[in-house]
Amino acid sequence: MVTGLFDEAADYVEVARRLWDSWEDDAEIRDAATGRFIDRDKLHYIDFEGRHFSVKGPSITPRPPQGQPIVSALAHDTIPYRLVARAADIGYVTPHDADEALAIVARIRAEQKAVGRDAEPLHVFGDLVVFLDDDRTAAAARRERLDALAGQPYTSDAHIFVGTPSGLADRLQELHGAGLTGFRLRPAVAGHDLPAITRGLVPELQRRGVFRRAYEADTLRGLLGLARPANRYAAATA
Amino acid sequence: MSKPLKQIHLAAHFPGVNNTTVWSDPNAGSHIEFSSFVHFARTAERAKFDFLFLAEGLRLREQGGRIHDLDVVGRPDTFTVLAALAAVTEHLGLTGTINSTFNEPYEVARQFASLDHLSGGRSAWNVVTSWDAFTGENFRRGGFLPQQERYSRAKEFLATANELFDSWHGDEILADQETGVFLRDAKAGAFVHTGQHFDIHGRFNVPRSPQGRPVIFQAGDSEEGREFAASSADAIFSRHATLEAGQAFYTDVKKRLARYRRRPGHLLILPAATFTLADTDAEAEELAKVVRRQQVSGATAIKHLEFVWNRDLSAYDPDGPLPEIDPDLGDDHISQGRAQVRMYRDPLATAREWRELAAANNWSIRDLVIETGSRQNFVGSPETIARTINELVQADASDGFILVPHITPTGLDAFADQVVPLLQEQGVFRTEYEGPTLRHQLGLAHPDDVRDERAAS
Repeated sequence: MVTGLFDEAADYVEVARRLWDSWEDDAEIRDAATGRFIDRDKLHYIDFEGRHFSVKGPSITPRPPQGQPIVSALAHDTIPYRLVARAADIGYVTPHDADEALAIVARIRAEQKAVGRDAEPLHVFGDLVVFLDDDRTAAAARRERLDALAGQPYTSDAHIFVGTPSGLADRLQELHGAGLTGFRLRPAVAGHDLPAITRGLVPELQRRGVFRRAYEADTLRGLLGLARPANRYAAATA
Repeated sequence: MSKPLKQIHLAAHFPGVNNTTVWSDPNAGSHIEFSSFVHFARTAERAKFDFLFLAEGLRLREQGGRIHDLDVVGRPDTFTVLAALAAVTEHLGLTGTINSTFNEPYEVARQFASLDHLSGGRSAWNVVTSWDAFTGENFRRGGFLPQQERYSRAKEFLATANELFDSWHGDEILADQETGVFLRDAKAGAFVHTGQHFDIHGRFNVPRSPQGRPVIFQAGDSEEGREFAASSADAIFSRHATLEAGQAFYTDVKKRLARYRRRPGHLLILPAATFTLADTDAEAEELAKVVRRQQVSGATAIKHLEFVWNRDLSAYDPDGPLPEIDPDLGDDHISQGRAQVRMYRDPLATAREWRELAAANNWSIRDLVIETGSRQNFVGSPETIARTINELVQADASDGFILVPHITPTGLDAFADQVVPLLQEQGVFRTEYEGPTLRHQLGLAHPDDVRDERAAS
């Protein structure tokens, strides 16, 4: 059952990526001399036939600036790790310490190798819930107050960090050392913890020389260090 | 006593993927880049238009088994564009065409409720149907829907979406920081729908939006389409923009409303209309000829003739005479993905008539297609166009128009600057927006008030 759903998800991503490639980048020619708006030889049927659906193509939307937008997925176990390894550009994972991070990254890299994608860059981001204050006691008190209001302790699939910006910076560097390539932080209270991240954590990471001070690219792919993908159909006809 | 002047409604149709849109003109810009949509939307809003309209097609058109390459083709997703435009406009309504055959009510209801929230109450949904297997090849459900069921599914789709919109009433969110209680009504959004096409239950996860429900447009012209509009739509995107055809359509549809306990003001008739504007009527007539030749290149004329002949005519010279050979009456049509081909119900008669016309006037294939094809609806000076539009609306040929410029994205600029002020001077078009939501501009009641009114009557 679960395997079937994740196989369907992999098909879904495959269809999306084929559709993004179904227009070559220079398909729109606007050639007044011949009256042709597009060079239709640069549009491609994707002819996907899967167990769950079939899609003819081409896309009704031309190829976008990144070629293919970023695909990412949250994963907690072997089957979803396999989806990440087969189909994603970023996997979000939920280790609770550096040892778990090491183990999860190893499992994803092994799956990646098994499907022949080991040469392709694949990010593995750690998810963390954060309660951030300038001193640890204040952050812990906030969490306790919210637990009391809810009538039960807050739980999460991800590690819940309660502490200071510099403590969080230490934790992120430790997890980074275990193989995580980035992080998706979940502010426990958006109005409080998001500003604490941007005003406290980010300057701390910048002081340590491990986070950008200016954007180095115009696209998300560029920021993630991922190249613009070649068009599979252009390669086939070149 | 004379009848009070009707207020005109005006909307802007972003130029579409057909040969009305002239891409070969030096002024023609991108139909993909966001800056084009921003320019077009801001022009419409500057002119106090009711709304912007986006059409949609879910498969690229084909002719003779190949992708049609002569017209503008390829466009960004409707919801993405409208949501982005919500951020750069304040009053302009945002109408998206979304198909009821290839989507699911829960998903579409979420999308329109979300757009209504993001835009502060400016969303509208043009409900269209489709059944053809050609389009279906891009979708999981394929072409399974029999033609006769397309309106049955559309009706149930809209009714189900309305149940979802109405599953929140607007007063459920408490968000009490002291007690930690977020919802006043723990069952907010709960729904159950059991029907022929949909069997769904659960919780709708978008709270009540400013308009309650998006404004509903309907575009079909068939008997079933008209009845669907009379029962369920707030406005019709029609194709009858001339005086006689407009009046006939207007009368026909409005008289159907009583059956559903609705009044004439509950359903607006808004035909699509093209225009060619110049300083004088004579200059506009000349310009209109130039635009028609831009719209119908030799290659486009041949393709258009193929709609009727239903065979490959690529060997014919567009500047030469019409084919002697008769149309192919086979079931498989050479052209796929166009509603237009269904207009020619008797191809043999059309072919005979066109040959006679061409012979009598000494027309080439291209001349014939230009002369018999759809003309610009409004051609003239600003004064002529303003007068024509006003006369048509006051004569109940429509309640206003959805204008389709032929140049992206600047095709509306001159109309906004030169025609709108004349309509405003005559007191038939707003000088300020009537209120924050699209329902305010269209003079439509909030769904809650409509329900109360029906319950009371």
